[in-house]
Amino acid sequence: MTGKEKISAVQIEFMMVPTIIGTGLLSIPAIAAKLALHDMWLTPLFGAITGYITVFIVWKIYKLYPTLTPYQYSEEILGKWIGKIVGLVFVFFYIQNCGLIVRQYSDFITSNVMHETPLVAFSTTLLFISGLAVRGGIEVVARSSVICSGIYIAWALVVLFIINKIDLGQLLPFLENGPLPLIKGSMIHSSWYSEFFLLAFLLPYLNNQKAALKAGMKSVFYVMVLLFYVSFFVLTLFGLTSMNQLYPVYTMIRSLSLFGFFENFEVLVTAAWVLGNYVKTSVFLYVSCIGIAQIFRLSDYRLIVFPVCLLILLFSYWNVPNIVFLIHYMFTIQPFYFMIVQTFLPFVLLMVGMYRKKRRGNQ
Amino acid sequence: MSVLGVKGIIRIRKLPRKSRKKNSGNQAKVHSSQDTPLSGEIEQNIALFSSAFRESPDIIIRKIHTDKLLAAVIYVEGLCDTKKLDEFVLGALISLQEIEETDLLTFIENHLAISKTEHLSKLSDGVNAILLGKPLLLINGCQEALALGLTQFEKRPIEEPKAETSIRGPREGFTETLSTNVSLIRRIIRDPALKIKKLQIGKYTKTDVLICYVEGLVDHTLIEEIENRLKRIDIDGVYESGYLEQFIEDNPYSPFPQVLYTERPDVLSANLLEGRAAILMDGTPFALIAPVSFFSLFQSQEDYYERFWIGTFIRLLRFLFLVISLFLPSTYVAITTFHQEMVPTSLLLNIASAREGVAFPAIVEVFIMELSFEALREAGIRLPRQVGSAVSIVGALVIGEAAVQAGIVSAPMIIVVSITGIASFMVPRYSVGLAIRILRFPIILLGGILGLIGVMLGFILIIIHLCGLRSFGIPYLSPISTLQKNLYRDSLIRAPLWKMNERPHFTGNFNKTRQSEDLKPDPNKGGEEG
Repeated sequence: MTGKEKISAVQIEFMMVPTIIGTGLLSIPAIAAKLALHDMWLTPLFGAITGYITVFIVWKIYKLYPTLTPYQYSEEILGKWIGKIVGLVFVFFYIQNCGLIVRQYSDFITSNVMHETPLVAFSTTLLFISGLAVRGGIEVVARSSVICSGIYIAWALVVLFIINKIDLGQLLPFLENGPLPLIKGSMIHSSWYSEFFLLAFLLPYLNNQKAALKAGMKSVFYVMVLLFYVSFFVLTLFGLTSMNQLYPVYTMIRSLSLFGFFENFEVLVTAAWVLGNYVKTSVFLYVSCIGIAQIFRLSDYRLIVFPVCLLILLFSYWNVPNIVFLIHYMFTIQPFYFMIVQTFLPFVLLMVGMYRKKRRGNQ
Repeated sequence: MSVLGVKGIIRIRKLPRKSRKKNSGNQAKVHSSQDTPLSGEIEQNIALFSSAFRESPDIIIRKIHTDKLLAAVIYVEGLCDTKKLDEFVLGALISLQEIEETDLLTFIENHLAISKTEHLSKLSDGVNAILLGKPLLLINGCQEALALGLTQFEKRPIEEPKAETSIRGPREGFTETLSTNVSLIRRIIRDPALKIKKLQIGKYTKTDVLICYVEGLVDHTLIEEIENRLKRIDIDGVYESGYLEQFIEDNPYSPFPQVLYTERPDVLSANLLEGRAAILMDGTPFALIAPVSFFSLFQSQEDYYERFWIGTFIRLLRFLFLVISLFLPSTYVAITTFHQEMVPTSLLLNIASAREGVAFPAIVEVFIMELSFEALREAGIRLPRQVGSAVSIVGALVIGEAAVQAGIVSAPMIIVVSITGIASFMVPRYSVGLAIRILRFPIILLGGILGLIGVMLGFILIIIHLCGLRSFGIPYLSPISTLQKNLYRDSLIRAPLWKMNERPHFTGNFNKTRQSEDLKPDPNKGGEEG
């Protein structure tokens, strides 16, 4: 199934970073601030632990089955039928989650940049171009994400222009209510960091097996640095009011002014953010499509790309009625849901897989 | 009913195809009858040739009848050097005193002061040789004819390349004559490793096509692939290398050129030494280079001839203007339609007051202006030179003040369109400029519908397309998208020559080292004189 297509470790890093922070950047700082208050700037660092654990689990299973995707090795590990069910859980999870991403993306744009254009205009266009990329194959997704992520992440430098407005006093008091708020805030991050399980679907295409762990760990590190960087500036600029904003990062960029002449270039930043979202959607879409193809033994996943796009479009409406509900969902359900599917389930797979291998070795 | 109708259509479409097949079979038969071997009887041979060349007044058949020898020379008037033919062939034949009967042809060949001769035994070969301008010598009693290399025809002298001018660099350009072009390359790469493969393409034009490469630097599968793709071309005629280009591309639907063309021998040789292959064709000064990447289309010879700072600066400028020419009009439309708040207030007021009297929305305005600009540009190229000035005067009026005063377009729009126009000339390769001109319009449409988000989606679409594109198996956006080592050295910037020790990754894999390490000039290295 993996064919001849190969991608490099650095390309995987370029794919993973926007895949995690694409939507995380929007709402994580606000939700984390609600829970962790003044310690919000530290939450990315602690949340990253989930990321490192997930990458480690992924890497351990990858060493057992270096050419198989999770859909395939779950059948190897748990047997044909239970394995297929686990595979379906993954497929459903990623299709539903992709719907969430698309919804978040179009909600953000219609509420901030293009007020009168309907949601569906942005959902369909994003899904359409992601579908085109996915039909091109993993190599096209990887190569285009190198360029898109490069431009996207370069925009992070813009934030530096507010450095004269920040107030470091907002970082205090340090650990005011003990470590518990910090841990709670980090849990919010965990739902995004657990998405590093996506790595498991990309590693079978890696051209250099030895670079797998390093690539995964490096991308967790980059995500951590970026989230830390953004959370730090959000907290020092807004203080605790950041928790009352829907999109604090966006508000922060709105307040930027260069030389008193260039103002309001949040639209440009939003446009660049589209690049990151494109990478994120294509990776999710790709994972969903190869999932269906591999579970049902289709000869080519390309045929089902656009049908899955349509399904994702529907999920983007079924998932959440409005943004307030979405925030609540991220606050209460998402961390546990995401970690169970993307960290705990792989952990079970790893344990069973290792046990089976040991037993086979003994016989 | 409808099903029947569809079937009927299919049948009707099928019938002519079958008949066409029969026709081509007949043609093949005619061709095979031309494969008849030449006989020893000269009269019979002359009859064969004159029947093949009936109704061709430019074919001259000159018989020579001395008491020793019966011979004939057949040639096309104007394609061979008649002076030499008279002096060295006819003169020699007439003045022959004795002949050797045993090996007549070789005997006569030895008495002709001509360096390039060929023995031919078939009618078709003889006909081809005559059409290529080689006079054919038939001798009574010989089964073979002698083709004499006296080809000479009117040709253009070597001139400065018109489409790729440069301030610094050699002033020689390719011409329409293949032999001249090959000699120009041979004069630069003086090494037997320069290999040339010859093909003939076109049923009627029988155009000579050469594949040039440097042995040891190039991947042999590439040469085989190019040869196979060229051999598949089965058409009536090729008139320009653009014909070949469109038949050997990887993705024929892409607006982007997947093969580079050049009329400069220095550019071609440099590319050959980077492990690429070149395709030269008779009848056109434009040679093709494959495989190429997107970034090699932005390299100009002068980047390398000037200091590296200048090369780097100009290359970055080109990329900047590539982005401008592709996205400026659409961004302008998006900002004036959807995101007015982005424009600084004072500028916004100016734009608003300029647009006040304009009847059309920005997107219509942009389409009017861009289309008329494209029309003017095209008219300027095609018109005879005497009328050209009239076009530019009218053009200045259309794109100039009159249009603003009439309230059809606003003044800022004219600035946008003219900057875009200039920007599209910044690309050193004309064919990329063409692609960008076409792609601009759908992006304007996207910008007019979805604002800057739409422009960005257009950008992603182009990136996806370019990432999927390959030129003879090499990713089009390499080395950037494939993240090769030292990817920036000869793509985004032009590194100093003493830094570029390796050939480009994909084409130069076969033999990586280009030059010795440590070539950086340094007065302290001095050498022996110290």
